[in-house]
Amino acid sequence: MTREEFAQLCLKKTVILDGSTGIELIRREMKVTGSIESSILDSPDMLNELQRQYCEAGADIILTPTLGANRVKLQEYSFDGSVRELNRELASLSLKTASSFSTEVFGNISSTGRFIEPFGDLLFDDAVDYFREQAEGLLEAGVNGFFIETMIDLQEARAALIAVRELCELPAVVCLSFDKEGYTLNGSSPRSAVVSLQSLGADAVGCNCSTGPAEMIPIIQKMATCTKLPLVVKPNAGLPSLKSGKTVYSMDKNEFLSYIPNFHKSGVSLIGGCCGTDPGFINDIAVQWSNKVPLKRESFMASAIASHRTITQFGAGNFTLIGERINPTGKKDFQKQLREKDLTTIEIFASEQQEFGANVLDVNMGLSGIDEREMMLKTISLLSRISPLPLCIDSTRPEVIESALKLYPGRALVNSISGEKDRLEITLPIAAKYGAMLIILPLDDNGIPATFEARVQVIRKIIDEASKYGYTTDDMVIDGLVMTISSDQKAAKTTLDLINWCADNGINSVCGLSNVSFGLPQRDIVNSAFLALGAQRGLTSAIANPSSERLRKIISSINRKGCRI
Amino acid sequence: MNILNQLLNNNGILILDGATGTELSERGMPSGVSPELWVLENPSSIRSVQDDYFNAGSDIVYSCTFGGNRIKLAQYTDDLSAVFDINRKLAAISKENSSGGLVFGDMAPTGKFIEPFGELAFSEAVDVYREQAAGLCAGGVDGIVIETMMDLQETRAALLGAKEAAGERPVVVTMTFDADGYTLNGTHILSALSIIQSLGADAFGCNCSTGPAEMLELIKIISPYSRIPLMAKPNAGLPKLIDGKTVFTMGAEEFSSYSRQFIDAGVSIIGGCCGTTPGHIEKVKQALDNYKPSARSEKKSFVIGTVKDAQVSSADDPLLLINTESGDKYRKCSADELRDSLVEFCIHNSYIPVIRYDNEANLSVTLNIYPGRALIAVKNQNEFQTVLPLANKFGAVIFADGFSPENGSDSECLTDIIVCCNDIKNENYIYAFNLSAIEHENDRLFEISMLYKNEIPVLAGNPSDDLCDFIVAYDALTGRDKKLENLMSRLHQSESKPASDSDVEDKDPVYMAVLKGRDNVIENAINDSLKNGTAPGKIVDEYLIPAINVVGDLYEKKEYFLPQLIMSADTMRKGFQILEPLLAAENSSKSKDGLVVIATVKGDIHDIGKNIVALMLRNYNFDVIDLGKDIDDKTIVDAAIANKADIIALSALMTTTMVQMKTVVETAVKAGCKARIIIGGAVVDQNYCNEIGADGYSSDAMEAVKLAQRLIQV
Repeated sequence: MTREEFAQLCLKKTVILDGSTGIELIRREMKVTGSIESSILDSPDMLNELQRQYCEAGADIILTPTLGANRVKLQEYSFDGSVRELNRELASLSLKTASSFSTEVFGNISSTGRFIEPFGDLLFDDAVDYFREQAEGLLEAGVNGFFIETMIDLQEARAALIAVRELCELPAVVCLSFDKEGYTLNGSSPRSAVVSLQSLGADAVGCNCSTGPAEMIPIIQKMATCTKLPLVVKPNAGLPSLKSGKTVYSMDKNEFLSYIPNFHKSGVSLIGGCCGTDPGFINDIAVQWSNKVPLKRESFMASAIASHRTITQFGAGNFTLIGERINPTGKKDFQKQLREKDLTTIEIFASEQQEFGANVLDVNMGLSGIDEREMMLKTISLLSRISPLPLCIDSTRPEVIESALKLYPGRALVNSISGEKDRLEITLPIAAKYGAMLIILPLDDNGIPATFEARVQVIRKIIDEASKYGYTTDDMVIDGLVMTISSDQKAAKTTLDLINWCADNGINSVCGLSNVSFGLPQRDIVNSAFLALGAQRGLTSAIANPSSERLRKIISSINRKGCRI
Repeated sequence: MNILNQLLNNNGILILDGATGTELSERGMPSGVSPELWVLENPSSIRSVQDDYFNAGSDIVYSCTFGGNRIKLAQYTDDLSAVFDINRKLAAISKENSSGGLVFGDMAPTGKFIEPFGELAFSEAVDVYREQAAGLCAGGVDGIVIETMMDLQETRAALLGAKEAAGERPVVVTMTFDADGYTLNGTHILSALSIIQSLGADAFGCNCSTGPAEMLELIKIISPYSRIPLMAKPNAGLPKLIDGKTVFTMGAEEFSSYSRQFIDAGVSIIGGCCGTTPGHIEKVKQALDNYKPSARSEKKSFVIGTVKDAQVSSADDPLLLINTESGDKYRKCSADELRDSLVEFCIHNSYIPVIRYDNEANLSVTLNIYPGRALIAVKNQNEFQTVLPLANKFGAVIFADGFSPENGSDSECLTDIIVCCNDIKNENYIYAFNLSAIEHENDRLFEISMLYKNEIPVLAGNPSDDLCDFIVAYDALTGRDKKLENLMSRLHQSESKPASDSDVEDKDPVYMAVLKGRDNVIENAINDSLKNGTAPGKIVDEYLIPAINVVGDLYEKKEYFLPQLIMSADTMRKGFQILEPLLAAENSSKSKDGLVVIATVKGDIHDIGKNIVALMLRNYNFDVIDLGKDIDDKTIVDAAIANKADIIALSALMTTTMVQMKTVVETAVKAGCKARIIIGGAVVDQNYCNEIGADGYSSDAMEAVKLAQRLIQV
C-alpha cells in the first residue's frame, strides 16, 4: 500500500482498525512465558484465530503482534535471539492470516519503556537504531505499513518515525497515549505532537490506550485544529478497574459505540480499539461506520512550530516575537562562558525572554574557538527541558543544523535558507528531512539584491526549489532582510515593500529588527518604530531583544489590532 | 466639469493674452482716462487688440474691466448705478468678437485696504466684486479672472463675491509677488496658495511684478502643494526707467524661452503681463506647440496659511505636527475671540487659530472674515457633519478634537476618521489626522505608523516626548527625514550633548564642510580657498585631515554616529578628487603613508564595512587597493606581493567565512609575503586574531586607521 493509496482510503471511508491483541490473547488464556511476543510464536493458532476474527469483523487494517518487540523491551525478558527475526516471524503470521481477506497488515512499533535524550539516558541515535532494527524485520516479512502507538513521549515517537522514514516510503501512523489531563506521561501536548509528527512525515496521527473514549474526544479535537492529516482513535474499553486481582475493562461495546458519533464529528478517519476491546467491538463498529465517509476538515492551523510542550503559530492575527539573545555575537562575557561550556547564561536568557513575551527562542552558537555542533546540541537539550518555547535553529553550518533538527523534540524553525547554492543543495534537503519550518533569506550567490523586485525573484526561486521537497509557503517565513538606514536611506523602504508583498501573498514574514538602526543613537526607538511600520504592512514576526519596553508596547498594540495575515 | 477643466483636459496647455493697456495706447487711447469708459466709446480698439491676441494663439483673452469695480470707477464717474451695465457691455464687446475663443471677465484691486487691516468693511468688498462679476457674467464671459492682487483679504473678498455671481463659470486668481515670494502686504505665495485654493479658486498663479525668470522660481515653490491648475503671466522682464518712463525691454524670443520651463514646473495656463505684445504670445504659442506637460506628481500634501506665512508638509517631508495645546504657532479660541482679536491673530503674533465649535451662525461669520485657513475642532460626528459645509466654503481644516470612540476599538475609530474624510473628496481636510482619537497613550506610538503607511503629511494633537521620539524615527525610516538630520538632532541630543559649535564655527569653511559632512559645499569652499592662494597641500594638511581626525574622535566618543561619519568621509573624498590633480602638479613630494590591499574574504559578500574602512584609510593618506568581495586567498596574497603592500586588511561577517582569514594568513606565510595582516568584521575579535596569527584586529573603521598607522609606525 502506497502512502497515496492510504491517504485516499482515509478520505473514502472510515477505516476500521483491530482491537486489543496482547490483552485479548491473555484473556483467552494463552500461555505466556517471558515476553508476550515470543510466547505468541508458541501459540500461533491462537493469534491466527483472533486476527481472523478481526478480519471477519471488518477490520481494514490489523496490526502485527509486535508491540513490545524492540531490543530494549525484549532484554527485560532476557531475550537472546534476533530481534529482527522475531519481528519477521510474528509479522509473517499476521500476513498469512490476512492473506485470505482484503485486510492490510501494519507493523506495530511501541515504546521501549525508557526516556530518550534530552529527557532520559537512552541516546536518541540509539533509539533510532533499535526502532530501525525492529522495522527492518517487519519490512522483511512484507508489512503494508507501520503503526507506531502507545507512545508516552513525543521524542520516542519521533525516533520511531525517523527510523521508519529512513527505511521506506510506506504509510506510517503514529498514536500517542495521553492522560486524562491531555498530556503524555512526559508532558507532550496533543498539538505539539501532531505539529511535530506531521512535519516529520506521519501519514495519520492520533491517540490510543490510556483512557476510554470519553476522555479522548477533547484530545482529538485539539489535534484536529492543527493538522490536515487523517486522525486515528483507539480507545480502551473504558478506564481499567481491579477485580479480584485482575485488571478489567468494564465498558461494554454498546457504550463504547455510543461515543463514535462524536469522533466522527471531530473529524476522525480511523477507528479501532485498544485494551479491553475484542472482535465483537470491531464487528459492531464496522457494521455501523465502515461505509461512512469521514468529515472533511476544512481549516487547520498552518505555519506552526512546536516544542514538545507547546506550539507557536505564525500569522493568524498574532504577532510572533523571536527572542534573539541566545547568540554570542558581541557579548564578551557570554562568549567566555561558552568557551568554558558553561550554559548558565543560556538559562537566564531563556527565562528572561519568555517572561518578556518571546514566543520562540533563536539559538545561535556561532563563535570562533568552540565546537558549534556540540554546544548547539547541549543548548537544545537544556532548553527542551527548561523552556516551553519552540526553538529557532540559527546556524550557517549544514552539519550543525542536521544534528540539531534530529535531536530537537519538536518542530523547529531553521534560520535560514537563502538562494545561495550550498544552502539550496545541502541545507534545504536536511531541513526537509526533519520537516522544519524555514526562514527564507532573499539573497543568493550574487549578494543581497538592492531592489524589491530582485528580492522577490530570489524568493520565488527558493520557493520553487523548496516545493520540490514538499514545502508550501505555509512552511516559510520570509526575512525582509533590512539593512541599516544610516548608510542607505532606502533600505527600510525596500524591506517594507517586501513585507507588503509577503502579506499580499499570504506568506509570513520576519525581520531582524536591530539591523535597521546599526550606527544610530537610541536604537531601541528606531527598532520599535520600524516594527510598527512593518506591522502596518503585514509583518507577522520579528527577531529582537524582548527586554525592550518600547518594543513590547508596540507588540501589544499590534496584537490588540491583529496582524494582517 | 467647468469649461476651464474641459479645455485643459483637451489641450493640456492654455494660452492667455498679453498686455492690454499698452496695446490700447497704441490704438489711440489717451493717458489719464479710464480705459473702461474709453473702450465703451471705442469698442473697435479692444476688438482689434483681441483679434491680434487670438491670431497670435491666445485661447483666452481678458475683458477690458481691470478697473471696472465701483471704487475705481468712482474716480471717473458719478453714476455708480451704471457699474453693472458698464461691465456687462464691456464683456459683451469682447465676447461678440471672440469667434469661439474664450473671454474671461477681468477684476483687479479696488485700491482700498479692507478690514481688519483697513477701513473698507469686508462684506462691502464682497459686494463690490459680486456686482462687477454679475455684470461681466450678464455680458457673457466664460469665466472670471481676479488678477494683480496684492492684498490677501481683498483677494478673498473678490473670490467670494465672484463665486456668488459666477455660477458654474470658473473663477481663477493670480496675485502679484516680489522676487522673494511676498505680496506687497507681506503674504507669502505658499500661504496665498493655501488660502485661495481651499477657498475654491479654479486656478491660481502669479501675474505682473516680475519677469519670467523670477516668476518661474515662485511657481516652483507652490507647485508641489497645488491641487488646482497653475497660471503664470509674467512681465516682459524687469522694468527699466528710460527717459522717465517705465519700459519693459525683454523681447519675444527671450520671453518665450521660459515657456517650456513654466510648463515643466507645473504651469498649465500661461500668458504675458506688462510689456508683452501679440508678438510675445505668438512666440510662446510656437514654443509650446505640441509640447506635452509631464504629469504632475500627485503627492499628498498639506499647507495651512496665515496672512503671513504657511506651514507646509507633503508625504515626502517630515510629519507636520500641529500642536493644538501649545501657544507657539496655534492657539485655541472661540469664534468670538477670534473675531475680537483678528489683528492679534493675523499680524502681531500670527497664530493659526484653532476654533472650538460653538454654533453654526457664529462660526460662519468668523470664517468669512478670517484672512487665512482656520482649524475647527469638533467633538463628535454630529458637530463634524454640521461644520462640514462651512469648512468647505471657507477652506477651513476640520479635525476631531477628542473624538470619542462611539463603537468598537480605538483603531476602528481612527480608521473611521480617515475614511470619513476621504469619502468627502474634499482636499481641505483629508489629511489632518487627530492624535486624541487614540485613547491609550501606549497605542499612539503604534497607531501613528498608520499615517506613514497612508502617506499622511500632518498630525494634530499634543504629542508626548516619547511620541515625538517615535515620529522622528518614523520620518527617518520612511525617507521623510532627508539625511536623517531630525533623527540625529533629536535622538542624539537626548542621548548626549552635541559637539559644541561655538568654538569651531569660525574655522575654515573647508574644515567645517568636512566636520559637518556638507558634501554640497565642499567644492565651493575648496575653490574659494584656492582662489585666495592657499596651496592645495596646505588645504589637505591643515583643513581636510584635521577635520576628519576630529570626526573620528567624535565617532569614538559616540558623539557622532555612522551617518555623520559616512557623510564626513564622503565630503572629504569629494575634496580630494578636486585637489588630487593639483597636488600632482604641485610636484608634491609628500608620499603616501603606506599601501593597503583590502578585501572581503572568499565566500563572503558583505562589503559595507569593508568599503567604509577603505574610504577611511584613503582619507588618512593610505594607498588602498580594494579587491572587492568574495576574494580567495591566492588573489589577495598575489596582489599584496605584486604591489609591495604594507598591510593586508580582511573583512568577514559570517562564522562560516571567517575561517578564510586563517587560510589567507597561511597562504601569505607560505608565499613569504611581508605584509602585515589585519582583520575586522562582526564575528571576529581579538581572540580570533590571536588564534589565526593575524597582526591586528579592529572593531570599527576609525580603529582600523589607527591600527594601520601603528603597524607601519606613521
